[in-house]
Amino acid sequence: MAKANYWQRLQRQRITRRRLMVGAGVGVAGLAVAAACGDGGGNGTSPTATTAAGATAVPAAVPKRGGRYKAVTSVSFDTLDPHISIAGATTFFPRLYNVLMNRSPLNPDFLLYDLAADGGLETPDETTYIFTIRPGVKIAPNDLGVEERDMDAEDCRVSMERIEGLPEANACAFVCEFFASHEATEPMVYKVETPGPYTWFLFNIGRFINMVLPRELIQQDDPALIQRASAGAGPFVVREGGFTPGEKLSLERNTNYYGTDPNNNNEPLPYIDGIDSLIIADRSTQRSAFIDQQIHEYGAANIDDVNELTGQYDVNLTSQEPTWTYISFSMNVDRPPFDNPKIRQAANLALNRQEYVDRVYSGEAKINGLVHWPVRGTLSEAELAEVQPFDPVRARELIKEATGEDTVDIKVMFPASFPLFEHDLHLQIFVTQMEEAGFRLNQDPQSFPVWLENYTNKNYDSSLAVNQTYETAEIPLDWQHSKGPAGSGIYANGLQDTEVDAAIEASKTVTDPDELIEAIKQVQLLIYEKGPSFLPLVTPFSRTVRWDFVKNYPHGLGLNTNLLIHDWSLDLPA
Amino acid sequence: MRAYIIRRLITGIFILFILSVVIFVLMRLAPGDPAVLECGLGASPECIEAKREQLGLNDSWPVQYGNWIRDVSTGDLGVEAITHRPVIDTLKDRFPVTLELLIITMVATIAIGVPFGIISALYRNSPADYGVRVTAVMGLSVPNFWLATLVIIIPQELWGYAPTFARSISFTDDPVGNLQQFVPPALVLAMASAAGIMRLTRSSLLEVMGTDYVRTARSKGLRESLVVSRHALKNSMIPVVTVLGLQIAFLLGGTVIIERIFALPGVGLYLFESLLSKDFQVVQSLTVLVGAVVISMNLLVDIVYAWLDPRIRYA
Repeated sequence: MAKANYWQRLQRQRITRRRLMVGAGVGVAGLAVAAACGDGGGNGTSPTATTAAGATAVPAAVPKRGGRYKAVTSVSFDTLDPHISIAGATTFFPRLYNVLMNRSPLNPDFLLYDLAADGGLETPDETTYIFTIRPGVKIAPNDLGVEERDMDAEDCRVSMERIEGLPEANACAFVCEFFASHEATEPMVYKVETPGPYTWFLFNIGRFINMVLPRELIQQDDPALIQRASAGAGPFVVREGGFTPGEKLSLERNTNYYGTDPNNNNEPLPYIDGIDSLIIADRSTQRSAFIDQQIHEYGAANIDDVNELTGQYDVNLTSQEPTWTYISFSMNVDRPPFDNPKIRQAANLALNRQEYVDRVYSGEAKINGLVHWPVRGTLSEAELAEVQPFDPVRARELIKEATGEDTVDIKVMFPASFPLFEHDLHLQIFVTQMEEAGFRLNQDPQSFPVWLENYTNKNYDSSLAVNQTYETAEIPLDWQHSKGPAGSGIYANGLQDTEVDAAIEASKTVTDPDELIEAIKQVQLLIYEKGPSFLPLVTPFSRTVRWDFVKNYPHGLGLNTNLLIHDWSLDLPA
Repeated sequence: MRAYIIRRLITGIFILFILSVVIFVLMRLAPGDPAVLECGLGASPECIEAKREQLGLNDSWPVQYGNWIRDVSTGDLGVEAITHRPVIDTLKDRFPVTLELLIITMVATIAIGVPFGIISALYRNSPADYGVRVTAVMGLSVPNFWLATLVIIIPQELWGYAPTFARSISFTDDPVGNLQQFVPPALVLAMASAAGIMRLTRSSLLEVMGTDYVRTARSKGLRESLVVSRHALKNSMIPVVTVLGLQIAFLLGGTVIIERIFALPGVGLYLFESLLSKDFQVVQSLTVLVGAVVISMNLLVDIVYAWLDPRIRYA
């Protein structure tokens, strides 16, 4: 298992980043740099600078202290409990609590030690993880009555035990399945044993759904406290009154935070005084609020929107990542005609993915394989052209071979009221392509809650589905596994094929990075051969612009990892 | 008059009961399991079952309805499914936002609709009349969500101005900031209703102006302004007042869209979010509450109507 000092790595990378920024000059970096950075995660490069066409370069400077960052979300906040939240507050948890450590999914060489001390991971064998807890990770001053003490191994044990016993915990399946045992062997040593080698362990333990909370918070009499304020050892804290579900979230700087900036005389982090997050659902409203500097970040509609903003204002394209949602086509192999592999293969050949890229996203998206493009282990464009070519003629032949008829009737459900406008455009193209390939569609539009219930309970023949983009190949492959993506048989049954199941499970035990990529590719080829039951179509880009005074905002390492880096700052105009 | 009010109150309570039954049944007939939504993506069947039990969804409908009505009648509107926050607490935060929005909207509706309606009627077939009528038709035709978007974008592009979004500024803390925040959405919301009131005022006043008693007033030698203000206006306002009362229900519906676009954390946005997450408790309680407000407003209108037209209360 690779060991690395996060701060040393960070220092190296930030120096590179700042030098690049100095050399960039006004408007020089251009779209090519932005595009390269968008791909950066996927090809394993380090997190380097991103400035967009027309943007003002961000000169290297000593980070300024102070200021409040104005964040925005389009999804309502639900609760501050990091283990069960499913809404807009989730991205703030890494600001409030700690994970043991995190491996960047987009750059697996990047290990970020948080609650575990620098280099504080020992792996005596492939199933044992021993974390040495960093001394001095002190709980923030808080309003929940939790003592300002150092976090320890017992906090880790109690937190994971809570997740294990909480069915609604987002990480329940991970802890239940992949924790054979766990204990605090010493006050500052936490040991986890997995049932077998598990390659995704460090990716998962570092996700913000596995936050370590002070044990007093979990063991207190009033569990509601945890939902309305925070008392963690992260860089910020939410005081009483700072959180109103559905309305606002205000984070204050944790004066006890352990982190320092090695690039700036080990100045205490974070630099900013706080974060205020607003909920604005409408994109045009978000844009106006951004221009008016009521918020400091804005998810641009497309590259034209980015260019317009960077051309008119002192704003930069600070991240260009795969978007968090994409459309897929899911087939239920328990039901005819999708129990027939030839029908599934026909569906695979019926879809011209490039048409979605061109017509829905004006070229600003990439075609997905089974493991979609942002993830390591995806198939190359040439390989994808081999396994999922657009071939409606062959699709018709497969239908004929499977049914003896020229066409086949299929029922397709989809969420008709999902607030993702691209979905309607997908649908039009999907219907046309499938019908040209010999599928006669019985469309079944449903309201989002109804669709979600049917989708969860596998109450469908086939479905166009809204999915989140995953950062590793694990869950994309699990969609084809008999236990489904959640491991509990919900959403999908996969192919119901023991050979595929075994291949997927075997890929999870490969710990060598190169061998892992090869294993992921081989599993995909096997699935294509058997007729995949879940087809991700394309994933577009998501572009976030920020005002020029937001300095050094992290990106390119994957969402979880980015959120755990806290050395960014604000250089607000006087 | 008292008997009239009591009669209307009893009717109102009966309507509220029917409304509560209808919304209760509709929420349960509509497909979709709130327990699934609450447990979130990837939830286990155990979680879903535990949530169903916790939400009382495994009880029979009559039991569920009885429990709900009992709670509501004691002021307990339940808790939100996802946040577990009491609905009443959220309402306390959000109701003032919607109330202020509605008050400004109603003021704007009356301030625009009635005077321009009078002008249009008094100067019938004049350029002023045509101008008012064309404007009224436009106000009725333009969808308010589109207008709201323009109201946000155009000042931004022309003058770099945007109202404050996503947090409500208290009038007592910052009156100017408060009005800057609430007036634009209120004007957008008022556009269609003001247009309707404008047209109604015009036609009603024209009808009254042609009646015998107005002709008599003129023949007495009264000035035209006195004829209008003392004799014609009060009677012409009877249908206008009725429609204004009904506008409350229409405007409450409009707040759902307007609050979303202007990111105002009010009851409309709350209802919209709750509908999306199929939060039984919130949707049921809010619908009954909105129903109660509409019925109360109608009662008020009926009383004013009876005051304006004695024939009503003696009928």
